[in-house]
Amino acid sequence: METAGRENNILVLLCEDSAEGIFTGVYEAYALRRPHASIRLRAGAAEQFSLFTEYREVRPDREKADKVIRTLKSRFCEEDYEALWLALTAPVPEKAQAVYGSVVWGLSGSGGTGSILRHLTDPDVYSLMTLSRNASGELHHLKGFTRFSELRNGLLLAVVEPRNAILPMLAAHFADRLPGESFLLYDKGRKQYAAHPAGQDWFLVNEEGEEKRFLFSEEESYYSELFRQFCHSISIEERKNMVLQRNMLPLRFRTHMTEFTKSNEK
Amino acid sequence: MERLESGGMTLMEKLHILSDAAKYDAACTSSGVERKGSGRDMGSCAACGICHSFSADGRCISLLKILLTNECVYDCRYCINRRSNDVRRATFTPEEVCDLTMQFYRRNYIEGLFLSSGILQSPDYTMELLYRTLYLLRERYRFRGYIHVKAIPGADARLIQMTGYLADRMSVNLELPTAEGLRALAPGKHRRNILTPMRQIQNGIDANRGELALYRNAPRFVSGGQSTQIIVGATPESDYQILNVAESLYEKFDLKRVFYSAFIKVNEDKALPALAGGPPLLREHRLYQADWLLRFYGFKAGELLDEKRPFFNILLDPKEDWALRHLEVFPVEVNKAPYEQLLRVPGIGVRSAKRIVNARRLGVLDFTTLKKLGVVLKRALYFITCGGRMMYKTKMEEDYILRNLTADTGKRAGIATEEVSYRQLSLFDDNGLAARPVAEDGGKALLGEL
Ligand code: SF4
Repeated sequence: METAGRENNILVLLCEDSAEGIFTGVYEAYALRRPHASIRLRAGAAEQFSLFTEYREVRPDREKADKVIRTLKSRFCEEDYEALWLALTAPVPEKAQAVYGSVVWGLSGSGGTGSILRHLTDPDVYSLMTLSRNASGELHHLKGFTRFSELRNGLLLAVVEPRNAILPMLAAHFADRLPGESFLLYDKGRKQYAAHPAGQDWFLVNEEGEEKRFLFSEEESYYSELFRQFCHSISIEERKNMVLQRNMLPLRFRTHMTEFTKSNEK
Repeated sequence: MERLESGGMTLMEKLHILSDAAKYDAACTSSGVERKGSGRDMGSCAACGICHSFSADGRCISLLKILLTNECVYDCRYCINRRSNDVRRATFTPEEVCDLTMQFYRRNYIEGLFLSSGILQSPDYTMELLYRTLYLLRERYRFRGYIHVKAIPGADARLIQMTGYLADRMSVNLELPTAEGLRALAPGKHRRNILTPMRQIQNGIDANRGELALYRNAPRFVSGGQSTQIIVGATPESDYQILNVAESLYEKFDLKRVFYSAFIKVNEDKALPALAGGPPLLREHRLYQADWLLRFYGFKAGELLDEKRPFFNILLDPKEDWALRHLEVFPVEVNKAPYEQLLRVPGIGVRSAKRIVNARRLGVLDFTTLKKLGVVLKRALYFITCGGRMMYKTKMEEDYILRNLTADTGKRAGIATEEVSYRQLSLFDDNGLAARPVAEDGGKALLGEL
């Protein structure tokens, strides 16, 4: 049995930086049956150890994570459920606490019915909202800014470098939109591919070893040149406003965009 | 790789000419239609719209915006394609349009097609070409992406009807805000001719709603709604007149969007104004802001402007301007004020107003929380109280608030206030929450939340 004194201390559960890892952390936190306020979750390793704080590592467990996911799916509205997943893609360790705190808030029922995201006065919910909005913003950007190029074998290839781990969501979008195309979507920073064979389900592959080189089809330079021409002639000289352009389309996205690159070097 | 296409012109040359000639149309939105993939054919639509790129003028590129032809039998004074101009002419074949659309779409360059046209031979002939192109694209190429097409005034009603079943959005441009304006600059165009297809499309959409209610699988007619464009500054109409026209278009024709396009003088013509300062971009910007207030904030045109004050304030956005002239209704108490009243506070947008209404059910709001909810306190502070208190001691005086609101404007632009130009304004006109990137058309992109 835990003593009262120890309950005043904070227990930090260090989870693996993955959905499975963090949901397992949520499971374990509930299983401990101590006040939620005395537990915190963190993705990845502890940064610095503080006094009066106990650290415990949580090993990811598929079954436990699934139990949590099932509960959330039935108890949370669609918007919140999606926000939880989006927040999990964020590249920050605090996301684990944001998810945990929001789950506690949502399941406790203290917010009444409706979306938990309305309760921005709670710091964890606020953090969840910020993280998920960031990720969904980037996802939305990339639905537009991703560029495919055609390879020799007719396959389409796109390279992206998102801050959030949103490759699966992006792949789902393009699989829905381009069902008849075989395409590869490559997250360069995470060295991960989403592969979609025409007419089939897509899947994730981690890249091993050297980055692959690709050969582009002959048609490719023809169409990319047409598009560059289009982007150029659609702009109105008298309204030129590069600052506005940069605000709307930040430079970091342009590395892999056809209209901002000279040729098909990848 | 160079390819000769029909007419002895390369596709590259045609695209150059026909996108260059299409660029003055302001509409590039792809929003309003949600269509999932079919699991077989190419394409889907997202209700929020998706911007694929931004051109050097900062406008969103969402659709392959082209003319089918820049040949034209008309001679509208303001138009680059008018008959009397000596410009290179080109015409796409329907196949060329389809090929470009499909190849651009699968590379994710675009969200769909925006097809407009000059008048080749006659309105009927042109409309039929547009119809054939869309038919080919939908039926043979099986394209499910977004299509915006022009309805040609004066064309056979059946042609327009058939085309509407293939398109997500249709538009007929009003071009000039009043019949007099039209008479002065567009010989051959009549207001009645323009309003007729507009009404027809509206009726078509209405009828289709009925069909869809009865048969879920009935073909959809212009499901993304109808839009139009008004050129600003080519003729002498005031902002008040323009806004009134827009309001009645929304009310009487059930339009989805009215676009405003700052006049750009492409032709040397005595009938056209000189516009020494370049295109009236600030006017255009204010009109978009006011348009927003009409559609989402419950304002009426007559509240924002009137006969005596027919133009928008250069320094203030239309909502600030309204608030300053109605200080008697302020300050409002954020913990109690109804939603509609919150919407009228400068610095509070639709999203933050909703959040306030939700959050205050759980407890009393303070200024720190308001900030979290996305309220721009810097602008709102003159108009609100929180728990009965204002944020700072301020005077409820028009001059005082005006000075404070605009001091900021002047300082940040680093210029004397009379010289605040649109370009500088657009740098800091981020009034409100940094909007999620659902912003996708020029106007919306600039606005964020009012
Ligand atoms: S009808 Fe259209 S394309 Fe022809 S001159 Fe008039 S505005 Fe230009």
